Amino acid sequence: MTHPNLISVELLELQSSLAGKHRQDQVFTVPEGYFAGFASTMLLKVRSIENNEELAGLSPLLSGLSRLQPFTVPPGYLEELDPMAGLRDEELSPLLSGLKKKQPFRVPEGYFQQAGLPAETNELDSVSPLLGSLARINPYVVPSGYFESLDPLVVIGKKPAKVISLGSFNWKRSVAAAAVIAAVSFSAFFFYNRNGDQPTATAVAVNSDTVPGSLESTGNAQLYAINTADAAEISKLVKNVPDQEIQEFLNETDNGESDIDDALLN
Amino acid sequence: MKRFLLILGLLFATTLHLSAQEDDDTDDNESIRDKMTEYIQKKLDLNDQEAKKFRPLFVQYYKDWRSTIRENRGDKLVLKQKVAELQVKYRDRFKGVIGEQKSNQVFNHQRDFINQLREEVRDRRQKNGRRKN
Repeated sequence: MTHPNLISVELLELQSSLAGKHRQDQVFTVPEGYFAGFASTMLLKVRSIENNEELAGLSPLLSGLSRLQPFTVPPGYLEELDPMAGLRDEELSPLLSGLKKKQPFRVPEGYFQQAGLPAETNELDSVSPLLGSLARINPYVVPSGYFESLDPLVVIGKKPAKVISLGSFNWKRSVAAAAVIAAVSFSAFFFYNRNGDQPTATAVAVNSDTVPGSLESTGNAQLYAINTADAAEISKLVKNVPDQEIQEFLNETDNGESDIDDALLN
Repeated sequence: MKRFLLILGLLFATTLHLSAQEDDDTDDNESIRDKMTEYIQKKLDLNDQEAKKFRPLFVQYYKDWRSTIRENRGDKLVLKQKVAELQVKYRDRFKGVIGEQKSNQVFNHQRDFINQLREEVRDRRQKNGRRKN
């Protein structure tokens, strides 16, 4: 619409019957800026209508009320308000209001300047004249930087302790030690647990008077005749018991058993 | 080196101590005692329950029997008396566990076992003599 000439040219090109006709001017005009705020104005109106209708549907009474705040606060009222402003001291605390606001203790003028060293000296002189006569100067002097250069261990005459690092573990030495220990342990184990299958030279001779053979000759063989199966069983039982141990046992118990046997036999 | 010697010394000391303990334990010829107990239990045909009760009682008897022999070795008559008293005492105890009949047989089997031990020693000596020759 803003380019009527262009439209006319286009219509001529199209050989339209409308090309020769002139357009008439607009009868109605729109105020300046009318459409700029149109959309927002319309939306506000729609919303207001919708809200009012909704509220009227829910509560006709509330929708009928005016939306103006009936109470108003004067400007600056809350900022100027102090809750304690209207109260007097007596109302807040009668005890505190009764106290005098004056310092009860006072120091005489120039007290601290006068009460100094001379007064103390006089007191010390009266208590101990000897101490009072002593000069208050330290007679001993430490050379400058003495304590900084002092090594306590050197002073007491001790050498610093040797530091052994835990990280320097010598594997070779440890393995060698373990091997030797294992060898000695096994040797000791086998030495003390050697089997008695081999006869020992320390076997003690059996008392011939107590062996069953001699007793058999007494005519009481039936009492000592051990079943062959039992004999084999006992032999099997003591197969691994060393000769020495059996011999020691027999030597120790020989008297007891043989005497009991005698008692049984006679 | 010092550390190594220290460890070695401790090891020897421990070994000697253990061996000394073993010697103490074998003073009563534990292995023979156990074999004797096993033999007697088998001969008496004890069941598991009886064997469980009998074993500690017999071990106690064995210890007392050994000490009685040691203490009365010098006087044979007293030794006979003491051993007999001990066996009578323990026979009564055995009776409560394995019954009267079996309790009387305990000492017979003990005697058989000891006699067979003598035979065993003699046989071994003979065998060793043959090997040497």
